[in-house]
Amino acid sequence: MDLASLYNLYVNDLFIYGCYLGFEREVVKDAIHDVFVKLTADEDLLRHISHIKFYLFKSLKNRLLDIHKEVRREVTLGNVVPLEEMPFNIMINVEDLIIEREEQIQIKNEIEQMLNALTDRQREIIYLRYVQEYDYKQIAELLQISVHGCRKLVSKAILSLRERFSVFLIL
Amino acid sequence: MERNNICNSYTDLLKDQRFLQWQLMSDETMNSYWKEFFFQHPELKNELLQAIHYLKKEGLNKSSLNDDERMALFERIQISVNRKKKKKIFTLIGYASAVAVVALIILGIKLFSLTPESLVRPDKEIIIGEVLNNKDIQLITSGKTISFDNDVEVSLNDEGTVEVTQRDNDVTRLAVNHDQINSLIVPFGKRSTLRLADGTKVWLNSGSVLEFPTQFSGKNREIKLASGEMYIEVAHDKEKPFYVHTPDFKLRVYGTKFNLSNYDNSPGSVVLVEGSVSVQSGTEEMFLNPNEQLLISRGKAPERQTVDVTHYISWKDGYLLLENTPMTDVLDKVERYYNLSFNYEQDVNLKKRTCSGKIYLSENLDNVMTTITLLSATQFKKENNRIYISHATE
Repeated sequence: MDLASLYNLYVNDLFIYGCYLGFEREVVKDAIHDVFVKLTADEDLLRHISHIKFYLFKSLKNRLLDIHKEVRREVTLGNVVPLEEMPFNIMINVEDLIIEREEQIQIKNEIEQMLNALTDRQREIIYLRYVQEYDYKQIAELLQISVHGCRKLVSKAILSLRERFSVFLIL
Repeated sequence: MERNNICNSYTDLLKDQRFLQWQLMSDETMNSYWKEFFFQHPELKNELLQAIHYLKKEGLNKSSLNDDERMALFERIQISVNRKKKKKIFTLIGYASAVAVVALIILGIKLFSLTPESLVRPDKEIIIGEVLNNKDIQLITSGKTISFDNDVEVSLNDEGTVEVTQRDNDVTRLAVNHDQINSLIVPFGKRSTLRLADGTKVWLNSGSVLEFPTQFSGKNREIKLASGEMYIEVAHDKEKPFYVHTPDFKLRVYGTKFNLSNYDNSPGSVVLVEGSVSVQSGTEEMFLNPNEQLLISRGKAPERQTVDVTHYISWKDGYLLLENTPMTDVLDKVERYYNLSFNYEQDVNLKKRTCSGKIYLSENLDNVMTTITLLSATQFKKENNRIYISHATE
């Protein structure tokens, strides 16, 4: 696949992921620039990557973390915010649903309520699993935690939502 | 199943906490529950698919990157990639020539039993440059790309037309959309000037990408230097503040002349000639005075220093002014201006040389190289598309 098709295929997903991780638009764009430039610098690399999209997600996250560390180090003199404290905020879009504004807001509220009951890492896992369809092994790699830890975070999320919204399933 | 009687459409599903939870974090219990539900309501199958599709594709994954931004980012990537590739190819050629030199030396010894001293010039004491293929200047407007093979003067006017004049005085006129954001891409080896709708004048140096609207219709006047270097004389307009964006920082301009450079791999630089600008990098805002330079590197506090501005803006008038300028900086500039690629090892002594003086950036590269070698006590040789710089022989 050539650079243009790769770019067109994945730039939106990469951009969204970067923004959800709490980075400014321009910073995310710079990081995407760096990721693609690095990718094409090594043609062997391109040939040997089997999951190109996953590779791009991983490189982007690493690049963003590097940028984050550089900036942090300046501001707080070595006091870097740990990975697990990075934000993850999913933007909910209902504007493209062709329904009344009122109903749009209702849907947005429901989804928001549910996502707000979760932690940043739980939201990140859900996004990576549901929207990007990564498996637990890949997600664990992106979050730099174990597969077991990853699954535990999800079951905790399910539990806390059941408690919060008393959603009991009657079978 | 009673509770689910309210779910009659995909929008009902999207409002249902149980549905959302099942979608986002399914477990066995939820799976069997919903399987059963849709088994009993097969008519809702399409509503289900629609709800899932919306949630996955648009609801939680909508990109706010617009087409212009996406295109501009890709251009930027391409420029960097091409530049890197050329460097890489050149490293290979450099290596091959080193091998050839060694081969020659061995031949020399074997065949003529000569002391090879004249040939043994350690290969790292040579800087080799290559003339790269020239690319066209591109103007992207209303989704169309128009190419020009010579430096151009672009001029926008109130009626929404763009006039492009090439060096041979060939004028192209285009009607453009009023609200359109246009891009002017000036590749390495080329330069261009641009007159914006408000009369602001911009000089674009080699390897630059500028985004600008056809008309400044909003409250502010805003343009973006996506990469490269420009000198700008901003038309005075108290009512409409002028902003220049770069990927790393933002400038607010108060009717001025200044030079802005933001190439990849070197720190961003703002040099104020006249008037006043403020630079916003992160949360910090700094005001510059005339004859001051602000150096901005990612992740570092901006550095301010007093400079001789002529050194920074002379390129727009076609010459370089140098004062103890490191050889590497000079070659960087010449590289961009003439679209060359110089290649040297980290430890080349030659690159420690400095140059002082004036170099006219004429169309004749040989003249330029001659001046550089005179100023830096080196010599150069040109063969086909390759330039070799070495120490001046006594």
